[in-house]
Amino acid sequence: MRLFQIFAFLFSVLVIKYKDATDGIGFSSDEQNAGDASAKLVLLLLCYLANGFRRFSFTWPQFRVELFSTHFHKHKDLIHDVSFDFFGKRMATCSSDQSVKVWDLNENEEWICTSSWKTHSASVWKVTWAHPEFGQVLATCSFDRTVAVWEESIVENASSQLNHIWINKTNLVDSRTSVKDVKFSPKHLGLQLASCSSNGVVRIYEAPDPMNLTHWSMQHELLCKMSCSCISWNPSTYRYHAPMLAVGCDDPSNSTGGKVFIFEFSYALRDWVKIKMIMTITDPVNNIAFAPNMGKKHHVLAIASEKLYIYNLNPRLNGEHNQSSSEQSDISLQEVAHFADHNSKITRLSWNDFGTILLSTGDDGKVFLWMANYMDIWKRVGTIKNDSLNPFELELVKNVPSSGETSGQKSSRISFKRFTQTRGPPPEKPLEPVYKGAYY
Amino acid sequence: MEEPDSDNANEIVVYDPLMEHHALHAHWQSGHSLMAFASTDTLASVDQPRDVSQHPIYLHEIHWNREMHSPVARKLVNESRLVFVGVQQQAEISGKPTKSQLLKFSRNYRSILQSCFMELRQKFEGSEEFDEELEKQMQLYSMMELIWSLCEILFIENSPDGTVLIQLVEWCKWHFPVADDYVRLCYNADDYGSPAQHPNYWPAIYTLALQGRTSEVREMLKLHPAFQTQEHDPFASIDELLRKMPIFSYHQSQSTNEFEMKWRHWHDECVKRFYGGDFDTMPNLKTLSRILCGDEGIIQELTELYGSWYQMLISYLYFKNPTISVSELHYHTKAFIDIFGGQSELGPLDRILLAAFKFDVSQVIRECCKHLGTWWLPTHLADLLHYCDLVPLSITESGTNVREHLIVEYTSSLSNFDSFWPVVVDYLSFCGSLSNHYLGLFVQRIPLSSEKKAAKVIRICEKRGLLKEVESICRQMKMKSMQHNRLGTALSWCIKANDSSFAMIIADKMLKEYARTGLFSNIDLIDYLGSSVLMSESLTFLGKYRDFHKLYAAEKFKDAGQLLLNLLMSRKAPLDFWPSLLMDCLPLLERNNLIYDVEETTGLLACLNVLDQKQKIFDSMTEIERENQEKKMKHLRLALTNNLAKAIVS
Amino acid sequence: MAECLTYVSQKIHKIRWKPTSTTIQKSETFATGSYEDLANSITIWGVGHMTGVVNQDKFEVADLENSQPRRQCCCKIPGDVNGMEFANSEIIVAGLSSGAVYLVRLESQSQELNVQFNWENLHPYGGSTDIAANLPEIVSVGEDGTIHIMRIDSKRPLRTFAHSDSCPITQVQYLNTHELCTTNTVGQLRIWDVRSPTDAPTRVMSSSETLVALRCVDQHPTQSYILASGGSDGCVTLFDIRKECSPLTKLQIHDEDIWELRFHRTSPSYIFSCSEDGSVRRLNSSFEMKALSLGGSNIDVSELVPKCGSSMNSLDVSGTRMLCATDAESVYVIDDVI
Repeated sequence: MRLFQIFAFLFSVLVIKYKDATDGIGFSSDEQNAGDASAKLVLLLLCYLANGFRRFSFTWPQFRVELFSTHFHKHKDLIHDVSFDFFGKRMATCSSDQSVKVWDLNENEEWICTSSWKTHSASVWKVTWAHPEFGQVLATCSFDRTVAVWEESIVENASSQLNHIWINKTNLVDSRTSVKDVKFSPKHLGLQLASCSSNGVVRIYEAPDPMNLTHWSMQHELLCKMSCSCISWNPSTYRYHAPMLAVGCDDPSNSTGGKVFIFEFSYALRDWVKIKMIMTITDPVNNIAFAPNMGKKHHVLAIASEKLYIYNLNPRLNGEHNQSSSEQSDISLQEVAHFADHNSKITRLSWNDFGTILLSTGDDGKVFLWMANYMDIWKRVGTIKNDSLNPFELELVKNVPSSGETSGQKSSRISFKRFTQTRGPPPEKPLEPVYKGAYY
Repeated sequence: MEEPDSDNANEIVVYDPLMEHHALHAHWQSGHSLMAFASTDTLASVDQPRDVSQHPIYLHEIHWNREMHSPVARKLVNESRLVFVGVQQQAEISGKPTKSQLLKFSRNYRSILQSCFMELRQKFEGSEEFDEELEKQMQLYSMMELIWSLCEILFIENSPDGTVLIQLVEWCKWHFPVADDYVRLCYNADDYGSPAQHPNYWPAIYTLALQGRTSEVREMLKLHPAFQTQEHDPFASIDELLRKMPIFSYHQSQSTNEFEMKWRHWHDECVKRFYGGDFDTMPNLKTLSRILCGDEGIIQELTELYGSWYQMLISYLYFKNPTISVSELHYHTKAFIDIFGGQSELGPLDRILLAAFKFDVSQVIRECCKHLGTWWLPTHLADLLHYCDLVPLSITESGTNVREHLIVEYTSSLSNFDSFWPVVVDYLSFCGSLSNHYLGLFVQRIPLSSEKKAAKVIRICEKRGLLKEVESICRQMKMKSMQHNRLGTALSWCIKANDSSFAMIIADKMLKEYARTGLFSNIDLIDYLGSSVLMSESLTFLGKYRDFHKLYAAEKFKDAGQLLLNLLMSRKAPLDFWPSLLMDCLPLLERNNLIYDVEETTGLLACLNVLDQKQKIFDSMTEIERENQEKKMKHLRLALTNNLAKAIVS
Repeated sequence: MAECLTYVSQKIHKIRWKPTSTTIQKSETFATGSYEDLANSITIWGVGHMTGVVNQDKFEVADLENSQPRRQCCCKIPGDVNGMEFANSEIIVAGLSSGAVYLVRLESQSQELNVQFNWENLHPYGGSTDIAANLPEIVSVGEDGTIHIMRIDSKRPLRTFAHSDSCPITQVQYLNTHELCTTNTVGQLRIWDVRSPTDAPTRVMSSSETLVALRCVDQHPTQSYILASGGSDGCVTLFDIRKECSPLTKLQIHDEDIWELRFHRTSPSYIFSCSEDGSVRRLNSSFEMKALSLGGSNIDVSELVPKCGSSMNSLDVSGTRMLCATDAESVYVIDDVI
């Protein structure tokens, strides 16, 4: 309450000061020598605003491009995947050069590569972090038909500095073809790992003892009968939701039928059951992602195929009332949106922390941001696109190697650029005129 | 209000030569930031390696909504958070804040905006060079204050009888000091001899009159050389009109009807004098009297002197219909917008204000979201108006409403910046029915950079009943300690989370370490665990074993021996720790006075035999270690048999 | 009681008055150390006279303006400032989350703040959590349970108690020239002798059975055997280090963690404490050992700052003036607190 008094008081002071200033200028005879520069400035500015308001045009500043970090080791080939830990403070990148790098954000908000090691004998497709309550654990999957699990170990060296060493805990070699995706389960299911390979087998592994990551047992093998490309766990922690997995297939033939499968774990059968296939999507699916669930009873699933699809999954919670009415919970699918804005196939999807903004990337070289308003109407709210090198950029790239690097880093080829927008319109426009009156 | 979306507004362009041949990929980081990179889903074939050598491989970090990190914005965020929490607490106590309370909160927000503006101004003045960024910020803050105060007048403050014009006129006066500007110019210019000679003399009078500042107009008029107080003088006549103009105020126990009667009387008098030709000799005074009569034409004529459609609208109504109510305002907006070029000429700010004049709250919020570039104003305004019942709680299938939607957006624009995490927690915990879920998601993403921060986050979770998250945080901290080989710390986290299975793992680890090195590394903790040792059997064993050491050190050999025997007999010790336990017997057996009787000694021998059968535990040892171990066991067997003999004899 | 609230646009972790040459002189300069920021810093502030009297619930305009702390100088620090003390009126020592200890000199002539010396990597894991100075010695403690004692003129630590606490150490204080006391997260108060040949503490005292963390400790300025510590349960625990290991008495003062607590240097019957619950309270007690142990001592608690909605991280008292700082980036300067 006292704070409010202070605020109120502050406000009154401001008002009084302002009044003094204006009155003084207006009617007191000695105002000329008052020389109250500040009051004049207020007036000038307000006048400026007053006059400017009539046709007030908003000229937002352009995005500022800042090269912010020097470079360390190099990936020798294209990066395939980037994965952030749960706090967005660590990043793992994997590449066609068979290596994985881990980057840490330091005190100055710079990404520092703290380790880099060769992980596989072929291109590394995906890298993913386990939940930090299982320690610092990474899983990678590769064209070399294996999945590898890595755990970080920190060693204090002689000069009291910490060395990060990633130890290979296990190699899961069950697949006979390239492993296209690997994902850790949500943490409430323990330490489980799902992988899918290009011959259409989804494997679910579990580490029964989270302290011993060398021991993984294959729990289940699910068959999709065509080349799988991506996998996603349903992150819902709602207690009536059984564990759920969505699998996407990238079989190029349209005649092989639906390309998205949804599996659910049946506690009664102690096995995964295929509960749904999305028949309408017959184009190859490149990526699939459940949105983080914020307590809503339905799940949101985004699918990247020739188009971007967004589905709502409404589980009928039979467990809520009568436990044994049916063996598996029924689920209804509802397509809430599809977009073909990319004009090409969509390759990658990513949700923000709250599951409110979806990011899609397409082969057209554009990244789109999507957002639903509270009426569940999805709309594109932002775009990131590439432009061929402009002269300014050429300059920048040329300057890169000379910006305070040692000779050892000269050859390095990976670097960061940071785009900072100092003040701009938020790319989300949740409230669009199209839906005018939607509040009522 | 339909308008084409300009996609350019929300477009970020990344420059990367690699992407000419490869697609751009991106991944969310956290908050409003993401990482973009050139990538492909296809493999480089062996015979045709990808040619990426001439280009560097870039990762592009993209951020937005960073404007909240500037020092002034941080003040805004932190101060307004207190007001926001105040509003919510008030709502929790009394169901819904009263009108006067809401007005107070609204003024608090406004005073914060003001003080931020003042600070920016100080900086602006202080900086040597012209700072464009600061100027833009000043614009933004003064604009937000302008919008907020109008909304406050129209939506929150509206008086019992619905009249708003007095406040609106005040609003004009406060935000658009055009009149003061003219007046200042008149006084400042020495070239013209007296203010009355100044070319801006009449504009000053007109604008003062338009802002309803009658007494100031009279002051100005008195400066005119022709001013006379005699009757039938045009100056005296207008002076009288100005003096007698009734001002409405509901504070002065004056009914609206009473006022209207008085006002009509005065208005009629104005018109009568105007048409009576009182001012025909003085065209300037005639203009002034036309303002007083509320002549629409004159208002149009003066647009060049005086602001925009909304100012004109207010001035016009002030002299035409001073008791107009909020709901009637929008009937008049169109005419004035047309004067200023019609709908198409409206800028973003005009749209926001127009929506407010039309009493369309959702439109105001929508336009603010769209054009202001900050979530601060729409979020806080929507929250206050929500308590005025102006933003309906429309629960849709997806279960969110406008207020919640905006709060989540506002917080995610803040969550980019680590230091705002307590602010985000405060907002999320008051964002509606799903607040605990949002909070649960958010606290998982707070980096636990130190023990103190973890303690703070745990405290918050405990207060909000997020027990799963507490457990998870404890587990994370425990894993982090384990990673750095801080067993004691890890154990303390287990105890905090009551995680007995993990406590067992740690206790076993500690025992193993002792078995290997003969040293306890965490005595300082184990000795002071108190009742917490009961959490897990291994921990209890560890505690008891420490007690044995203490007894032994205190030379209470008999008690120590008994305790050791109990530990062995109860089979609580892990098998691979048995050798160490048995070896601890050796010094006791070699003492002169007898410690173990016949029965006890045979028990010990039995243990030794069990151990002999389970050779497995020695598997991990090296050849030399195993030899040593066997030698020790032999020695022990001898000592035990000796003791047995001694015991039988005595 | 005149009070002044300023928003400083920095999350303040530690706030300290610059020592004055005499006790009569009013402190007018203080230092703040920030944390969890993109660029952390130590900043020196000046406050004018605060003659403002509560006058019909309104401060006088001029007083409010004069008493606003003014930023005098500032020095960037690479990491969260977890511990900060004035070693004397010119030297500030700071323990950082990066594990480094910085020695910063305040040039009284030019009003500049410069880093004079630094020890890097003292606590590689978890960083330094607190620091204490007793010139020429400085002691730094860390989350890794290590205690380092440095001399200001030497790059190598003089003495190191490596990992001698199993749990993170939360605060450290000099009891006299050769004895230290520390608190840790399992509720232990430990006394260490710098001269001791072993790495073990000379005494360990436990505040509770339930392992509630102790957050801070302070020594009674005249009765040096009395130590007061604040716990994360909001209790102030008083210890008599001449006696056995159990606490003398325990008083529930706050609802949540007490982050700092301080005896008044010249009127030691007062203890000031600040807490996560956002309040600053003042304890008044005679600290008569007999009465305390019987639980019959008269203790009254008064509230200097009511719950302000965010964690009160740090406080310092000098003469009649108190400073405190919150997570909401605000700093309070309060006069006439006793």
